[in-house]
Amino acid sequence: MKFQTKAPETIDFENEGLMVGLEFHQQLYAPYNEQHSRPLEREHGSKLFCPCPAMIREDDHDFTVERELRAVSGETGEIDIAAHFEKTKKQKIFYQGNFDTTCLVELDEEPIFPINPTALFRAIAIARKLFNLEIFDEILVCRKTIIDGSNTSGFQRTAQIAYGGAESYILVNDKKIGIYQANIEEDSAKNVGKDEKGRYFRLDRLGIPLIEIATHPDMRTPQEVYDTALRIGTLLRTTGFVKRGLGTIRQDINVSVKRGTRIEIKGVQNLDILPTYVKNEAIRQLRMIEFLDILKERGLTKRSVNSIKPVDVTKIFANCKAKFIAKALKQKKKVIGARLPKLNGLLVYELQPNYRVGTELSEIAKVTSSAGGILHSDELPKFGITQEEKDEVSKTLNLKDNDGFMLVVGSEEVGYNSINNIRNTFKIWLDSEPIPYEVRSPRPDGTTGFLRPLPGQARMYPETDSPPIEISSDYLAQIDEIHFEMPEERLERYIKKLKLPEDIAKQLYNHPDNTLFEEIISNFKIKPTLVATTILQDIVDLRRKGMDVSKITDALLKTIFQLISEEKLTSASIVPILQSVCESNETMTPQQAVEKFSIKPIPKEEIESVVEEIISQNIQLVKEKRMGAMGLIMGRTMAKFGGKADGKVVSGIVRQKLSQY
Amino acid sequence: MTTTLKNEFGNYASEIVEFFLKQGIAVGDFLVVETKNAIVKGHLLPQTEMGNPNAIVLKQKNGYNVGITYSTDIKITKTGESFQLEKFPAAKLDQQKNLPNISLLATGGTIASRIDYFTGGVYMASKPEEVFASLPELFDEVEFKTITPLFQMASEDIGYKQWQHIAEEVAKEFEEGTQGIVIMHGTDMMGYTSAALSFMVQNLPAPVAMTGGQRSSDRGSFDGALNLISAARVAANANFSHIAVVMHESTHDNNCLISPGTRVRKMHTSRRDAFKTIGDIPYGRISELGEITLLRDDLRPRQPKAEPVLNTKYDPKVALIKIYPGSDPDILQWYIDKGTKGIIIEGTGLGHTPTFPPEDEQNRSWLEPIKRAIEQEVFIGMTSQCIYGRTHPFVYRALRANYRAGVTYLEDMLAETALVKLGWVLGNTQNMNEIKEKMTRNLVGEITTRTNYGGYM
Repeated sequence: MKFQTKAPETIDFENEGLMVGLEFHQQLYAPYNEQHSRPLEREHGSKLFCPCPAMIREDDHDFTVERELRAVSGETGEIDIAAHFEKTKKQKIFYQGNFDTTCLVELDEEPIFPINPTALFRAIAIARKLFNLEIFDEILVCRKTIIDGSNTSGFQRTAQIAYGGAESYILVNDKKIGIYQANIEEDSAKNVGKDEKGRYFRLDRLGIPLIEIATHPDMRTPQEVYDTALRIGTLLRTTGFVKRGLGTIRQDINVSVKRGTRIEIKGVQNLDILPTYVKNEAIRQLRMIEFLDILKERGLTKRSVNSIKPVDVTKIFANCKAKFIAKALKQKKKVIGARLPKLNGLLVYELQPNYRVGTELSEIAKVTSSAGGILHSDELPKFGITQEEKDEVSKTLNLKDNDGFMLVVGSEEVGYNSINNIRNTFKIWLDSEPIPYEVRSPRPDGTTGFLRPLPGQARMYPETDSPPIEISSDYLAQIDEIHFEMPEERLERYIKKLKLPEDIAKQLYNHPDNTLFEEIISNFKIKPTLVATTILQDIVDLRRKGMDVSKITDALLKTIFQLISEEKLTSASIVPILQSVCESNETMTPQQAVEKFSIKPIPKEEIESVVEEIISQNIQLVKEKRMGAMGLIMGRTMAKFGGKADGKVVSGIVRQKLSQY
Repeated sequence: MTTTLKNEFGNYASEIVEFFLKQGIAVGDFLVVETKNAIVKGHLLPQTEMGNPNAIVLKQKNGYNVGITYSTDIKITKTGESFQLEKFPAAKLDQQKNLPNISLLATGGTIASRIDYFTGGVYMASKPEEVFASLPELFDEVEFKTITPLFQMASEDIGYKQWQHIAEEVAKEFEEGTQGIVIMHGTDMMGYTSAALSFMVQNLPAPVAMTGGQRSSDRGSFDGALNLISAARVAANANFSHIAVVMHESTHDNNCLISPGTRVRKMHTSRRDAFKTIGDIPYGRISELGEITLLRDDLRPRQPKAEPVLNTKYDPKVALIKIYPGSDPDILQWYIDKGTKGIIIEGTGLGHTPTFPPEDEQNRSWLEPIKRAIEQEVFIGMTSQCIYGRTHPFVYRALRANYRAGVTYLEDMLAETALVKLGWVLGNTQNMNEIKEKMTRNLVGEITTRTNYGGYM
C-alpha cells in the first residue's frame, strides 16, 4: 500500500461529512449572597458550593495539601475504564491554596454549602431566555467521577438544568444551530505542572460556577464552528452574568467525519484556533484510518502487539554523546527500549500536519506514564545518538525487516509503564472499528494530542450532600421579568444613542471587553467614544508594539476613566499611563500607576517663557502675519514640550501673546 | 446517614404511584416523557425523602438525574427497556499464605458504607469485603483470618451492649490466635467505643486498631482507604498490645496517627484529621509506606502468650452533664430520681461549677444539690470542658468547696472516657470507696501521671 508521509493541509469537509457539536463552558459571575458578600466575593463572584471568591490568583499560594486519589468501583461494581486508566498513573497530587480564597469545601474536608443561589438563578435565566431551553422542575446535583486530580473529591459536581425542544436554537448566519442541553457545574482545579513527586494543581479555579451550553452537531465547516462559538460568547456576555477574560471560557468540541467516529477535544480556550482544531481533527480521523489499514496490511496482529516488551538497553548508551542521555544516566536513569513490529517508516507518518505517529506515541507516554517523551527509530540517528548506537539497539531488540523501535529515557518504572501503555494502545487501535473513541487535548499549534479514552456511562451518581432543588413557577416568573439586551439591540443603541462611529460600534458589540465598556459608561460620566477607542484602538496598538497588555487591568481602566470623569486627569494621559504600565516591572495599585505616569500640568509661567522665546526666534514672521503665525508658534511650542503640555492652555497663551503684535 | 427504600417508589405522591401501578411502570423502567415543547427520556428513579413528591425523577442516558412535575398534560410511555438495581459483587479475596494473620470486625459507619449509584442512597455494605474493592494492595501484606460483620450501625446508635459484643469478639479472636485486630467503626462515637474496649478487654496479646472514614467510599478521595490499610498494618506489625485508633494525622494523605484508646477524641466534624490524641503523646505514627514509628517507651510490647482478660460488666445508669452559664443544678436531682448512680460533670476551667452566686441568686449554686446527691450515694466525678489539661481541687475557694462536698476530681481524664469508665466501674462494684479508688487510679492509660508538655494541640 502506497502512502504519503505528509498529511494533507485540508480536506473536502462536505464530502467527508464533517459534523461538529460544541459544548460551551462559561464561568458565571455570581456572588453567593448578593446582600451580604465580602468585597472579594462582590468583585469576583463566588464559587458554586461555597461563598469563597471566584478569584483567579497570580500570587503565591499559602499552603499545599498532599493527596492521593483511588479508582472506585462504579455502578457495575467494576472500576470505570477511564477512571482506572487515571489510576495507572499512580502519583501524588499536590493542591495549592490560599487562606482567603480557599475553604474546607475545596479541600474536600467538609460537605458543600447549598448551591449558590445567584449562580443557579443566572444559569437558568441564560438557558431559558437566551437559548429557549426548557427548565427542569426538579434539579438534581450529580457527581461525575473524575480522578485525574483536577477535583479534590474525585468527582465534579454538575447538574443538568435544562433540555432542548423544537424551539431551542440560535441563528448563526441565518442557519439554525440546535441547543439541546444546559448544565451548571463546578470548574476544576488548574493543573500547574508535575515533577517526580507528583502533579500540582491550584485550588483557586476549583468550584467556580460554570454554565455549559451544548449544541447539536449542526456545524458543517470549521468556519461555522467559529461563528457559532463567537455568537454564543456574545450572547452570554450581553447578560452581564458571566466572568470575563482569558480562561473564563472553555469549549469542548465533538468532531466526527462520516468514515470516522466522534472524538471529543477538551478545553479549547482560544477562539481563533478553534477552526484549526476542527480541521486537523477531521484530517486525523481520515489519516488514522489509513494508518491502521497500512498496519493491518503489513500484517500487524494482536500476537505481534503482545511481543512489544520493555528491554533495558542502558548499556548501549554508556558512552553516548547526546547530552540529555549522559545527564540522565548520571542521575541513575535508564534507557528502556521496545521493538515496534511493522512500524519501520511509519513512525514519521503524519496523523495531522506536523504531527507524526511518533508524536502520538510520545504524547501517550507522557500522559499515561509521566515520561518526558520518546525517541524512535525513524528519527535516529539524531540528537547526538549515533548510527552505531541505533544499530546496536536494533540488534539487541531483535528487529526484523519492517520493525521499528522506541526508546524511553527515565526511571525504570517510567520506562516500563510507558512501553506497557503503548502496547495497550496498539491493542485498542487494532480492536477499534474504524478508530478508537477518545478524548484529545488541544496543543498550541492547532493539533491535538492523546488525553484519555472516552469515559464509559457509569460515571454519574447523585450528590447526596445537596437536596433536590425545586424550580417553581414563581421562580420562573421572576426570571421572565429579566430583560437581556440582544446583541443586535446593543449595536443599535451604540450607534443611535451613544453616537459611536458605526465601525467602532460593530467591533465593540461582540468584543470580549464589551461588558467592561458597559460598566465604565454606566458608572462614570464620560464620552463613550473615548472609552471605546481606548479599548479597541489604543490597547491594540500597544499590543502590536509588542507590549504586555495583560498588565492593563480592568481596575486600572476604571480608575483612569473615573478620574477623567471627575476632571482630575486629562484624556491625553491615557496612552502614556497604559504604555508605562506595560513597560514597568513594578507592582502598583491603579492609583499609584496613575499618580506616577500621568501627564503633570506644566506651570503656566514655563509655557509663557517658552512661547516668548519661540516668538522672539521668529519675530520677523510674527510681525508680518500676527495671528496668522498662530499655527507655527503653537506647533513649535507643543513640540518643545514633547506633546505633554495641555493644548488648550498653550493655545490660550499663544493667542494672548500674538495679540500684542 | 443511611437510607433504605421503604417501598420501591420511595417518596412519590400517591397519585403518581397509582398511575405507575396502573401503567405497570416499575422503578428502573426506561420512560419517554413528552412535555408541551420537548421530550425527556430516562430510567425511572425512586423519589427521595427530600425531593418533591410530585416530580418524576429520571436518570437519562447521559447520566444526569432530572425531575419533571407530573401532570395529566404530559404523556408518559415505557419502552420496555429496564435497569436492574445494581448488585455489588464483593471483591474476590485473593488471600496469600505466609502473611501476618489478622482479624477484621466490622460495625458499620461511613467506612463500611457505599453509595447506591442508581438511587444515590448511602447504604451499609452488606459485606465488609466490598470495602476492599478499592484497596487490592492490602492482600499483598496481610491475610484476613476472619472477616466478621458484627452489625451495620452508624456509630451514634452504638451503646454499651454493642461494646460488650465487640469486646467478646476481640477476646475470642485473640484466643483463636489472631495476630492483630482491625475494627471498622463510625467516627462520631469511635472514641467512646475505644475507651470502652480499653476497659473491657485487658492483657491483650497484640494491637487492636480501630479505624473509620470521614469521606464515603464512593469517591476517589476516600480517606478510609489509607486509614484501613494503616490500621491493618498496625494490627499486623506494630509492636504494642493496646487498643488504639488509627486515623489520618493531617489533611495530607500520607501519615496516620496511632492514638491511645482512652485519650482520643473527634475534634472536627468533617476533616480527615479529626482524631487527636488529647493531653498525651500518641502511641505512634504510620507512614503511607507502612513504616511504623512508636513515639513512646512505655508501651506494652506484643505478648503472644498473653490471655485477654474479659470483663464486660457495665451499669448504664450514668450521665454526663456540661456546666454552662445559667446551668440549672436541678438536673442532678432529675437524674437521681431516674436511678442514676454516677454522674460525670464537665466543669469549667480546673473543674468548677457555679458555687457562690450573688445572695439573691442562690438557686443557681450547684454546691447544695451536689452535697445532696452525694448524701444519696451518687458518685459525682469532675472533669473539665477545656478538654486539654488537668482538674484541680484546691486552687480556688469554689474548687475546695466542691471537693469538701465529696466531688471526686478525675485528674486529666477526658469527660467521655470518664463516663465510660464510670459505667464499667459501677458494673463491677457498688462500694463507694472502691468506686472512688478505681476512678482516680490509672488503669489503661486514661489518666496521665504527669502532664506532658508535648501533649497539647
